[in-house]
Amino acid sequence: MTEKPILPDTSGADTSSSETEFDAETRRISERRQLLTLGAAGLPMMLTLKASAREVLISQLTCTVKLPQRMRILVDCDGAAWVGTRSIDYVNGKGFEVADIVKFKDKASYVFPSGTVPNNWRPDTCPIEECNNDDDDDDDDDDFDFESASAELDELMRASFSDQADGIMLASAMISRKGDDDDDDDDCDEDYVDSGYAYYQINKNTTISPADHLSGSTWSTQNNNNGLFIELSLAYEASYGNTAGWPGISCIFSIITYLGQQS
Amino acid sequence: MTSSLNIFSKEEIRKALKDGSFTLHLGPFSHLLSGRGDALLDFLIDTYRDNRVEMSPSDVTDVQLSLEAPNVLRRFFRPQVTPNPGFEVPAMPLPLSMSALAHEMGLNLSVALKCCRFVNVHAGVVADDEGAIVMSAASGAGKSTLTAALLQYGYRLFSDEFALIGLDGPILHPYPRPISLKQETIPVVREMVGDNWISEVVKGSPKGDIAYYRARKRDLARDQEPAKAKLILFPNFEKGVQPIAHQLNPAEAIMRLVPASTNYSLLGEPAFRAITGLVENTRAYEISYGSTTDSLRLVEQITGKKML
Amino acid sequence: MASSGDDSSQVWTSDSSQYLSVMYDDTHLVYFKPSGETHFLNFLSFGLIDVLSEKSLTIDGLHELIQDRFSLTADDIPKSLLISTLAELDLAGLVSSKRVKEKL
Repeated sequence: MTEKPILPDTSGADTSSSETEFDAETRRISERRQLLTLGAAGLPMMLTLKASAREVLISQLTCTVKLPQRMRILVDCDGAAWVGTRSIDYVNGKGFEVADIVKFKDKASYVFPSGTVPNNWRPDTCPIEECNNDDDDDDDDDDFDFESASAELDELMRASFSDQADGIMLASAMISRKGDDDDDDDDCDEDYVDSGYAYYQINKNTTISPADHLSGSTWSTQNNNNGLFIELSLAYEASYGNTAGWPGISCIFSIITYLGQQS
Repeated sequence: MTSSLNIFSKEEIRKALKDGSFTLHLGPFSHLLSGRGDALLDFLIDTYRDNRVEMSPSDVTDVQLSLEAPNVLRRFFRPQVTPNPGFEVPAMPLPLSMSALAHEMGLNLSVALKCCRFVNVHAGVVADDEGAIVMSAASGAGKSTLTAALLQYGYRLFSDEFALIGLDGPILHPYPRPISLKQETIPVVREMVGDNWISEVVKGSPKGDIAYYRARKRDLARDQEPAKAKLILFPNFEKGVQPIAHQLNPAEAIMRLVPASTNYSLLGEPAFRAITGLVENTRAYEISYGSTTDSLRLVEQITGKKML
Repeated sequence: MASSGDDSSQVWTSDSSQYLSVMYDDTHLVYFKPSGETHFLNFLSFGLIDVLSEKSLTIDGLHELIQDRFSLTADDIPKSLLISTLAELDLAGLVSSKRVKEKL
């Protein structure tokens, strides 16, 4: 049988109701002297509250985004962007296959309007005149080995970047490094385009920390490939808020909410 | 327009979950859920039957939780499920049969991580007309059992996991999700409330056996009614221990509440004001007990409200 | 910057606009805005920042004022305790010091 519980212990509560004011002051001075003696012996005179390990572990600002699948991003000269998973073949000496670009745009999971993508992620070169090709000899690519061209592209991309942890490869750099190319007379090719687009790829399972792109209480996306993902995430959030769909939107949204509450 | 989950057919719910359009409204949050499998479906139909839902969201949602296989392989071969709230979380994949646990964990993580409208403190909360009792304790300290027990004595459920403290005033906001019961507490609460209120037991989880005590209709109906705190408790269950209550001064209460918060440091000044506001004029006690009856007796004595 | 001890050319100061505080008996809960940290201060440590928020002082000046404020003596509050407490507060950012040029 359970005994009747002990009545609440009021040892921590105010017990001075029966004390005179003089007694209370005397007691207080005595307690203070004791504390000072301990202080002189080394007891700290202040205590800083630490966040719990749980809070540090699950801190809102340290949320990360892990991409559930490979992401490919196509950016044009006006800063519009298409995001999808299809690949776009790039042929050395010719450029991106137009048919691939058309299909990519058509099947894109997300489309961002002109002006979305900042300059540093836009293509290095932009077309200045319409393609006016009289010579169709090079249009027939049936004999071209796309598979190995694509493989060459992948290999070149891998070799271009030492930081594999990013998992992001920059194809427009390839365009600007095309360099010695004797195809100058064949720039205008209706089946290929070698300027006007930048193409990015982020590998599946790449982890991105949005907080790395914060400077104090403002966004300061790093001028690297993760930064492009963040820019698009911010654009998505601005248009659609926290609706499901864009990978990691909850993380971005929670940071924005936090930042909004700090201002 | 929300309706009770129980008016929808199983197939409608299954489709909405599969499409990722299933929306659960509870307390201050709306949750967009997606997932597959009968385990998840049966759990929701049973344990969330009286909750307000939509088969597609009518507005932006606060939480987006996808319960999915950790990789393609695990969708088909020894299927697993992991909660994905859209960002990295410290959660391991579970067998698909434990979808209930993945769901509850996922929602907890989402709210703990995302919520910036409130100071979150890891605590159970119940309330009557006089105010709310906040019971802050680590897992296993007995707060869920005490929460469940108090519901039988005129208190309504706010939460067994989070005290949501408003930033614009020290008010507690309800978020009455099912109470999670672990191991030995399952038969204790089952005896208290009856079989009908307890979900199927999820056996062999990383936390042992787990079951859920679903929220009552009348508590769900009041999930938009906040309350001021009337009492703060730091419960500690230990078998065989003599019951005792020790009153804490406000500084001691704060010293315990702050580390129990999942977002105090993040929120900064508003959190400081909210927590100090909460303890102002609110008594706080540390209580130790060896049985549910003893815990209720202690609360009875502290509050002066006759229960037993 | 941490002080280097008893230096009479150092003047200590604090800024009460930089923190929020709530008092519980002789304990003060202080939220320091620039760091976002929350501290518990006792009567002495809080007394120091309170006094220094009103007036910048050297160690000696502070020592004298604190004794008066709390009706305590130099034996109760050794100067060494004052210095070590200031060092704790300095580390937390709640006080700061600067050297002043000695008058010729």
